[in-house]
Amino acid sequence: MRKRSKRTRRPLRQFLVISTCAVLFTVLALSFMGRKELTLPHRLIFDILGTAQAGVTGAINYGLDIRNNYFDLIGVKKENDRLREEIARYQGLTVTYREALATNVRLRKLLEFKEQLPQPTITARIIGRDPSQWFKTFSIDRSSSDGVSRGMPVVTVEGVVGQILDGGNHRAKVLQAIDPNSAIEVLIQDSRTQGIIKGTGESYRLHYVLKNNKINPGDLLITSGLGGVFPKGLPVGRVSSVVSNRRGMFLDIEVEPVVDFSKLENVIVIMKSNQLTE
Amino acid sequence: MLLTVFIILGAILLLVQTTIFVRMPPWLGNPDLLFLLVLFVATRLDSYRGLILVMLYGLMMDIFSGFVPGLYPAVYLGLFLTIRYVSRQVIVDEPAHQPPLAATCYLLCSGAIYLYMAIFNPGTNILWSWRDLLLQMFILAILALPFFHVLSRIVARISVDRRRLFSRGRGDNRFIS
Repeated sequence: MRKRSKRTRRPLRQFLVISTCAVLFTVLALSFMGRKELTLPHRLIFDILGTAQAGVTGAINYGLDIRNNYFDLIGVKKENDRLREEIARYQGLTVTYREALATNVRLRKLLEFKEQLPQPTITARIIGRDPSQWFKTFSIDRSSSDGVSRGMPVVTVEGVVGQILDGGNHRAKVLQAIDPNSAIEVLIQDSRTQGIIKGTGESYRLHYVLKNNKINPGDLLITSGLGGVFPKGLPVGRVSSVVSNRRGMFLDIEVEPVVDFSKLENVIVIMKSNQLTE
Repeated sequence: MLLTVFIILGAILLLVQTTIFVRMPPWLGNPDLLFLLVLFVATRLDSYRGLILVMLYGLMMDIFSGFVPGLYPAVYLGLFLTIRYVSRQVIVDEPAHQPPLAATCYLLCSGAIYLYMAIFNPGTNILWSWRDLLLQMFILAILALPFFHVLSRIVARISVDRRRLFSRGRGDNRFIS
């Protein structure tokens, strides 16, 4: 008797569950129809799940990032090394090109100047300088075998440098114009006043210019060509100071060289036929 | 061996002075290391070798500096003889004496060059700057101690090698005999 009652209740319960679900589904379907906004429960669920979702996604992304960064770093290190090598190579090349450009400009100037000179000339490279503090000389890589001999003028694009002291078999020694033993006949370009310039070690002093001459700082001095050593018109220096002492008949004139002797690298030797003799 | 090493050393120092030091800023003073080498030779080596080296250094300087042949050999020879004479009376090669020795000798040498030029080449002038002179004396005084120390080590090393060489030679002879 009891068994039969249990059998009859089961289909009833199933019917009730199914019908309840159907009603709920219908209610929900009807409630959503025509709405575009989420309801409060939806928002609540969405917020909770969204937060969790964000957390999980963030964690996953973090993990992925770590993995990617780690693998990327290996590549970056290699890339970095390669780029560093490339930079070093390009820096070296830049220095080389810059030096080549500077040399080119310098040599082009020398060549242009050389072509302007009337006498045959020969270019020379400075190979060594006087180590003492008592003399101002330097050695060049040209010698008597190149036709260089004592007394030949040595110049550069800027102006007068000095003259050959002696020409050896493989090199020659040059007495710089700023040495106290050097004397060059000059004239002031504007006023055509003549004088003799002598070296003082760092600069020049212009001698034998009478007080009645008007000399101004900045006046350019050029070779007069009278000494027979230097051709006429080569720049020598600019007047830096003029002092008229109460005693004496000459002005005390300091002259700044136009040539920077400390930066000389290449010079031109003018192969004069009438060289200075003893 | 010692003679050869010191000749090569002198040549190297002179090359360094004429090519590298001359490019340095003026306030560094282009230290005259060859002069220190001359002083070392005069104070430490025997007269025979010292004389040869000093004359050679003088000749080398004549080639690279100035335009008066014989100036440097004469001045270095004078310096050598003076130091030899003075070293008989007082001790000059102790480390404490080296800086003042270098500075004083440089001053004496400059004076000797000036005197030499005035006597033998009256028409020529030389540059005389007290500032440069004092700077050079100061630099040489500073460099004297390490320079002498390094050279002493070189001499000691060469002497040891030589002794070893000779002792090996004697051993061989004994073995053969």
